[in-house]
Amino acid sequence: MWKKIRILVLKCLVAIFPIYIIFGAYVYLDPFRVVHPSDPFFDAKDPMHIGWNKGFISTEAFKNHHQTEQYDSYIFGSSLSIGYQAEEWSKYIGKSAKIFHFDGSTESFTGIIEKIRYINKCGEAVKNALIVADPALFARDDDKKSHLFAQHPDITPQWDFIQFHWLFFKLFMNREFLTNYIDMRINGLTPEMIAAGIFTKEIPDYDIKTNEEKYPFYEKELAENEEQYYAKRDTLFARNYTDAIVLTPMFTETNVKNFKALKELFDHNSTNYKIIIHPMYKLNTLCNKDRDILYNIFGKENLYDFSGANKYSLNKHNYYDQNSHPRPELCNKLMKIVYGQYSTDSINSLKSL
Amino acid sequence: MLFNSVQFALFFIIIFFVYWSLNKRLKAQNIFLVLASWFFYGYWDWRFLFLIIFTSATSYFSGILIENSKTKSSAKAWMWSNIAINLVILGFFKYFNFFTGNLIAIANSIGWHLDEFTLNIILPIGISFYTFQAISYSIDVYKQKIPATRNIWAFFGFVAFFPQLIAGPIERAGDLLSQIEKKRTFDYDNAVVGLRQILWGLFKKAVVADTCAHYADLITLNPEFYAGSSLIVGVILIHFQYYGDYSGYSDIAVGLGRLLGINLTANFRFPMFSRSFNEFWQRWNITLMRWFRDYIYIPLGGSHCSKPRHLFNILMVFVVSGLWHGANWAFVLWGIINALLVFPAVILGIKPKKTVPVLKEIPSMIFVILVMSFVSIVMKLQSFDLVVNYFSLMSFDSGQWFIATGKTPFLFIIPMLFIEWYGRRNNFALEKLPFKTPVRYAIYWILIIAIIYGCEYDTQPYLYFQF
Repeated sequence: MWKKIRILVLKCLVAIFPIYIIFGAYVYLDPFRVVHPSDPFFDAKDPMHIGWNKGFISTEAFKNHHQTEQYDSYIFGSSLSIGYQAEEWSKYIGKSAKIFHFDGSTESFTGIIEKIRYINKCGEAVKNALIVADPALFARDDDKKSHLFAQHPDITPQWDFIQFHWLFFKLFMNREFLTNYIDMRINGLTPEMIAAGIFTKEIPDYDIKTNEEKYPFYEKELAENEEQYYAKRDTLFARNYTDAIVLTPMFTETNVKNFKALKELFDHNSTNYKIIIHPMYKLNTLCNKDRDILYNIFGKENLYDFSGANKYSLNKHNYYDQNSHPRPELCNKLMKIVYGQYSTDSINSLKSL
Repeated sequence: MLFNSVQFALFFIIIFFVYWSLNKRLKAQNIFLVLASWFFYGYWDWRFLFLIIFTSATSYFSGILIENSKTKSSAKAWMWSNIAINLVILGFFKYFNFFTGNLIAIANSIGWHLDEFTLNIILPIGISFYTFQAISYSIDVYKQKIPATRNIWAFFGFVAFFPQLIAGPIERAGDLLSQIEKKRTFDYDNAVVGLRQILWGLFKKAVVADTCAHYADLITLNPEFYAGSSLIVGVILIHFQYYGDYSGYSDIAVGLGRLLGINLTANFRFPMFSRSFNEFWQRWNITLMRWFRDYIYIPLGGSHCSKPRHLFNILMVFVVSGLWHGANWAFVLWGIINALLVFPAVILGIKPKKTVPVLKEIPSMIFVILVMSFVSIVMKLQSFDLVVNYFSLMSFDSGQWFIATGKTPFLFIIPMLFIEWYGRRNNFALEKLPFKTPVRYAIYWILIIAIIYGCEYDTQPYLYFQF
């Protein structure tokens, strides 16, 4: 019997030969940098300019450096948090703070909770925290199962190592991706590939220790001619309204449970924390009911809502793009308000705009 | 743990080797089979393990009590007790909210105002399948078709055999239990056929069904966004989604059984090549329809009665079949429509063809596919209003037959139909591959690449899990 089983197994191993080839190519080429992730993730010399999973990069960077850096202060949030920079934040929480920017693309609220739990699991404290949220972030309570947004399998109980890699493996097998990828490997990056949205030629400046990204190519363009920068993107920034878009009540019981869980985590860590609801270029804002829920849990002294229509959100010069990715100048101003450095520019005066 | 998941592949590899290493000790092998099946079931929700163990235990002991009964009436009482226990469990988990909802609606309509009362009940996965197996066992013992087993592990294995536990085929004790009770031998040729069947099942599920599901969902969720002619394409996609899903699962289940030395009953026999509606129901979900035939249709009188009574019996089978699929009036409507489609052949006394389909019969096959596609929209939408809305938006207007974006599911449907046509004389399309080794392996490789390559969208859970 075992002889027959051995023959069957051997034949099966031959029959699944294509899987070795494809899987071997996935492991060897690792276009998404998830099989053998390595510092630095954003390297201008790297030929692979794919939109990578920032949450994964953040987690790997934290894993690689937390023991040497002994982080104690964290900036959480989605890509909207990019303009909130460690150096500026340290002015308010103390120059000795060891800051790590623990962000993730389209971050979810549970993603932030999982990251804090992971930090604690790694034996690090969360002395200071700054959460930068868009209004919708509070209601996101699960991982998006897509390559850009999937949480690192080390930090989420929502899926495991195999499921995580299966997602990327399937993407690797995606016809459109594979065709473009092979083309790129053979012929190099072409404008058509960039236009297709799979690859990018712009690599941010990346700080390996703080996990912070900066965008010198935007800054250079803005410095050369700011008006031209926005004129070029006029259609993208087009907005034919100036009133705030008030979102319908969206918080569920699960969301509220998550808010309380985060508060408990902060209490447990004795964290000095601030939550900033970022001014959105689309002018969307939480309804009063939802905002009150957040105020009741986190306190008005910790939660600052800049969303809606105000002097920040109505001015496109505060943003790199129409998706509300902020320029650092805007974030610096908001941090000054949050940490009480602006005596005249209060939240109340913002709301009256 | 879906069959088309890496977790299941790892699970099965371990099971396969441990199972055959225990081959010299039948009892140990059966205990292992039961524990593996329970692990597989508990992986979804361990709480419902108690339910399947309870169902297994009551059915096991009722079998012995039936057989030991001195009188026919006490045997009958034990049989009905077990049927009642199983139906109460099934009724509670599957139909409680349906019945209370309708009761309240009726009460309110006659002026008795009752408050709405529903429970948040989770439907245990596969409950309809193993309950039917447990019920049929009691009936078969009572009718002395089979002896009551005294081998408790074999019986637990019969109820919980993991390849077919979640979504069939629904096996009879006479077929499956008898195999578990006996020593199995590893049959190399059967194992090779089993692997081919798994490969073909994975292709139908992961490539055809999931691709169709992606488009079918897009269209059915927002029919108003699509051209009327796309909605017609949508119903065809739904039909092929259901076919790929159900038959794919069944093929994988039967293939897994073969690898473990157990032959399960074929559940689908090329229903897409049916030339009439009654033939369709002899080729589609065969084990379920046979169950209804033996335990509902024949006890009601079958065809040995007056014509109207015969039609009534058929109607009952389809209505119960509809309710079995879901606790919803839309499923009842689905059952009635299917019964009405079968009626003309019954009235005219036309028997389903037993011959192998040939090319000149393709028009009648296409007709059956199209009509059954339109019927499957009822099962997909599960709401009268949505179905009416969907049909009202259908038209032959713009000629926009295919959705412009993405890969078309017909890229997979058409090759699948060609391969099935080629293998239609066999139990499944790839059962016999009379080619030289390089050609056979080339076929395997093409299918494997198609499965990996085609598996683009989120893996969809098997549709029959919900039943």
